Amino acid sequence: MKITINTRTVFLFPTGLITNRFTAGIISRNLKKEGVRLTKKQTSLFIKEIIRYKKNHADWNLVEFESKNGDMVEVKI
Amino acid sequence: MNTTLGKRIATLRHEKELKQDELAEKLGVSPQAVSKWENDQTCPDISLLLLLAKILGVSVDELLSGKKAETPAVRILPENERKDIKDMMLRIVATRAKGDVARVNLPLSIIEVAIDSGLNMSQVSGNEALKNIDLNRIMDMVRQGTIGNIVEVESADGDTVQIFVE
Repeated sequence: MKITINTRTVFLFPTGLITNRFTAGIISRNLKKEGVRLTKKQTSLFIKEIIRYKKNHADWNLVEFESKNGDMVEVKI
Repeated sequence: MNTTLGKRIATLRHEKELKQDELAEKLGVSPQAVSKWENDQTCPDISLLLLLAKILGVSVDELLSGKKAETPAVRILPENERKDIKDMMLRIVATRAKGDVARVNLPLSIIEVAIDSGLNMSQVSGNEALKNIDLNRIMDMVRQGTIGNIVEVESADGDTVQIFVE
């Protein structure tokens, strides 16, 4: 996962460390606290799809934010 | 997105599953020319831009600027032109009244998983304009070939949300 602000990388983290079943369980538990009911299996399905899509679309930006001042933040999986 | 023209050509070529020599042949140039474009050593001749953009499935403006048109028209594609849903994208563009713009790019395959899991927009989005969006309805439209600017809503605060499928 890479987060860039105005093209400068500010956060770099191996995606493989967050796209696994263990993390899926953690995400599922935390989503439950927010009222979003997803089982560990369902969360794993999400993660599996993210990995599959990422393999075929290397330039995929999950989130792009542009402020009115022109600052750009990009989150890439 | 801040990428070079060469990188955009390479990315778009990969998305179209074209090799460099195949693209070169379609354009009537050498594979070496395409390689130089993609490595930003040279640029395509202006006379080739229209055809290059057409082959890569984008407008010339998108090819040169890297910015997709924010409001592609809604179209219904015939079955033989439709992409596999697994390769399609749902883009949510939220524009605040004060000028900030946020874009979330979600693969439709993930939306399908969300729907099968029983999720709806009100559970995952705090944005008032998004809460009433029916994901099932959007997926039905996509399965029938609809692409482009499917939804456009404006909240009481003046924020607008557009949902595109491509």
